[in-house]
Amino acid sequence: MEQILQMTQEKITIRDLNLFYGDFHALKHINMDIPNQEITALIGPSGCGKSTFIRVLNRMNDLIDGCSTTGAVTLDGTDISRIDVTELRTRVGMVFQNPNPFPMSIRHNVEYGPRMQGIRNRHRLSEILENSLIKAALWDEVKDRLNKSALSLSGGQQQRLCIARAIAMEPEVILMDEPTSALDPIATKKIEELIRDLKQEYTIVIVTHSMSQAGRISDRTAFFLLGEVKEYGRTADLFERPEHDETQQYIQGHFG
Amino acid sequence: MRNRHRRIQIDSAVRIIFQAVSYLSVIALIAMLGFVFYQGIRPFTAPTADQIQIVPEHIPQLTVNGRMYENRRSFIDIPMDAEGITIEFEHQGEHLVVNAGIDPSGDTWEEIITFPPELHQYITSPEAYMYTIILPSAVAGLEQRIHIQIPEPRQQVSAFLLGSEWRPVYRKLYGILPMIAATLLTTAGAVLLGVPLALLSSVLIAEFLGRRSASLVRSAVDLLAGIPSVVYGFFGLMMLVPLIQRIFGSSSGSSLLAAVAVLSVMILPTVISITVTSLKAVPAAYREASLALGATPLQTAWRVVFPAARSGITASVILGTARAVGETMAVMLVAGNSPQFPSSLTDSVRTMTATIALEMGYSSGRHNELLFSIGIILFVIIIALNAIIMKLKTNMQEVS
Repeated sequence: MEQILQMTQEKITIRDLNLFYGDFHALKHINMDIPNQEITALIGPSGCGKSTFIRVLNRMNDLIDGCSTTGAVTLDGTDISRIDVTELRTRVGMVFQNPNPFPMSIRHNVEYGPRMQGIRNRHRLSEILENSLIKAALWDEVKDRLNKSALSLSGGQQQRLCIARAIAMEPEVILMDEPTSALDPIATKKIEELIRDLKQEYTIVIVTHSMSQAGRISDRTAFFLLGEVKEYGRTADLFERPEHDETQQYIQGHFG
Repeated sequence: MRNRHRRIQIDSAVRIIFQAVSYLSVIALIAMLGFVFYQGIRPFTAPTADQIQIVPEHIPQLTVNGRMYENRRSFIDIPMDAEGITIEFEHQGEHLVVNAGIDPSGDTWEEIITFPPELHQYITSPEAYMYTIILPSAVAGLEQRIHIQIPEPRQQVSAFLLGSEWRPVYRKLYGILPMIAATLLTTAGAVLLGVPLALLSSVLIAEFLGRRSASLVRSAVDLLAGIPSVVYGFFGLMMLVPLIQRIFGSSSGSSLLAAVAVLSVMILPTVISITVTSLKAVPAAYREASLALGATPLQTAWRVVFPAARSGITASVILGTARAVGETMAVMLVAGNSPQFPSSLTDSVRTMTATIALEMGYSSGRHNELLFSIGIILFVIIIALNAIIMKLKTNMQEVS
């Protein structure tokens, strides 16, 4: 496993990460290297800490009272606690479990991030809008109603809009926290295709409940159990030749 | 079985009581509105009386148009179409005859009754639509008097709403425009001053303060809402009014400015508590999404949370406005209460509500009825504000 990881360039490295909610030890001694421009899937039963982990990567846990971390997480070699949190979040975008577009027009949803960074130029904003929507495979569906409310879109479209909104920031990493769990199979398929396309430009970390989804789209998979990374490796290896019994059992659906 | 039957009986009895109680508020509303409207519309539909009315004072026996009255204390009615008024009575042992002509087509009230020139020195007109004939007496205070009251015509709505003079007792002028202006000005001032303050502190409470300090500020705000309005007025009278007097060097500090200041503090709790509630109701997902896009907490609060809570915030502002329109006691204590158009912030003003409160005690007749008409105007304003809130509520339901 060590050898495989050293072959590719690492985007994010995690060294001995511990996270506490008050007294509760939610993440235990996590060591991971997340390679550049690959899709890393995080799987594991509910409450195993995979969503908590993904929120460490863009410091969303800072918002929670009584949450503290030890250990080091680096992005391109820089400790993320040294990066200004707003800058970090422009470099590490996030898509949430439930589609959460703002109650504004489609245009304003996508332009929101760049605007908050101080981009005012109309021309530039329209360019970002179009590029992001094209990349999120939503442009053809919404180009005639950019000024309509984002809430008028279907669930799957809303989620792709959220992806476009994240892309508009031109991030390096996109974190996805179960992005398809609230969607129907067709919308899910579209999003999965989209995620595979996005791999060309972005490093993607995706939390998923669906074993098959992890198998279909990811290059690497990490299996979380009770706050620990039980196993981490190439997806094919992990699914076919798991090293741990727990991994095997989970993949085969014996618990979850 | 019996037990079950009994439970059903209790159930239906409780339901009847509940229904009766819930309809009580409707009945109270209808009764109140009916009363206010009945009183308030009357001045616009009919003159105060159909007859000229005469009241004698210290005249034990008199004859009016041939009819004799003894120890009369109430009105003696003279029809408007009578040819004239002839009053005969004893004055200091002499038989006196007072003659007056009636001209019901007269344009102004002064033209309706004409007195012979020799009477003029005895006639005064203490109020409009009223003549008093005073005959000298050896003992002061026991002068013989005859009051002649001419009915006031139907009040014009335009003269009421657009009239700029409120002289209800002596000149029977009932223009409430200065009061409407005062109410609008104090309300607008309070909203302009109080709402930004309230919105800023709401955002602070809902988005930025820690749990403990937020609850401290919130309880302070809630307590502020519980202070009786007369206490606000008293505080304003003792603290603000002297301060304004000193700063602006005006003769009296009771002014539009003092009313605005007191009112703006009074609307804070209303606006803050509803705004905080609606800000807190904004889904956390919006905040997360905004922060995850690299927006700062302030940008998130201002650009996402605030717009998302827009209809709730608007409703809170309107409720605050309604509170400012309806506030009586505090304003009455600090505003100075001159029914005039203010030309500066330090001028004394009188709001519509203050007018009702100040004059209801001593007014009578048309003046009294017109106070109810002012109540109708207030009611219309409040209904309009409520209609806006209703509209917002349906809009909100459509969005979500």
